[in-house]
Amino acid sequence: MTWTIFLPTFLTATVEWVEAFTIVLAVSLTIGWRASLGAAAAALATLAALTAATGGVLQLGVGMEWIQFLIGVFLLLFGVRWLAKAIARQAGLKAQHDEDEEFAVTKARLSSGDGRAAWLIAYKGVLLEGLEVWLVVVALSVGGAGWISGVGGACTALIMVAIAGACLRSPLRRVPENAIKFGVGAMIVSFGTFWSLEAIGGPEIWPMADWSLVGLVAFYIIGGLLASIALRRRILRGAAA
Amino acid sequence: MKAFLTTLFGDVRNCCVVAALIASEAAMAHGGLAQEAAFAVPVVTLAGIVWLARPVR
Repeated sequence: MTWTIFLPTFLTATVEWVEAFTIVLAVSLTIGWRASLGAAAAALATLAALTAATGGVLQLGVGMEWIQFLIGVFLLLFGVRWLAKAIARQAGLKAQHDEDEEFAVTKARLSSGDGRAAWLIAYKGVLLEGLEVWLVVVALSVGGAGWISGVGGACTALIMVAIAGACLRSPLRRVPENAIKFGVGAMIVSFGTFWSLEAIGGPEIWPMADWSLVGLVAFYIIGGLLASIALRRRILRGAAA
Repeated sequence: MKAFLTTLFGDVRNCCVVAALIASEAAMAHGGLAQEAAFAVPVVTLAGIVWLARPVR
């Protein structure tokens, strides 16, 4: 088991599965548990097929530097967004994600009582949240060595969220989502920076080789926290003026 | 389809930041500043992230 792959995948997946569970829970109140779980299972099957297909494509012998570059770009696209949102939430520029509110909004959308539309909302919700998990699994497991750790992290998170959700049968609001997004966002941006620059400039571009990743994660976490403090101060100054 | 693309790539601002980052990486790595790139690129990336975190006017 490669823990540097398992941990970020597990944390990313936990956040995304909690959001997916909230949608499935709201839909289940309209069309029942059996139909909403069927929609969730269909979405998970689509994601599993996507993951298997991607794994096959990555084994086809495409040049490693090209795979690194593409995965690096995707990780940057994903991680930059996550870290920016986490900084904005930390600074008070954006509201914290509220599972209760998400639940109420989804429930209101379903008030028309159309069963097929409700099924599609559950399917689409699980598929879109799961796509972010798929991205991280594929990106961190590149090369095949970490595939079991990546898929294992995502599946462990899914099982834990499903068990917690089944026990509580209410929106899972105790997950410290912003703290997780901050940490995982920093990790994903670090991997994205490392791989994209290494693919463009060669392996010797990083002075401490793989150990540079540790420095990158620390830099993005500390830099992100300082930026959120600076942004918050700016807001307070603006409000006082 | 729009939701699918947004999930994969983010919005236009997000794509512009990443495109600028890749362009700066390529410019530094192939423009005789390869040794400095490892220190400059993370700073540029963080600046892009902070720009994205600021509210759109």
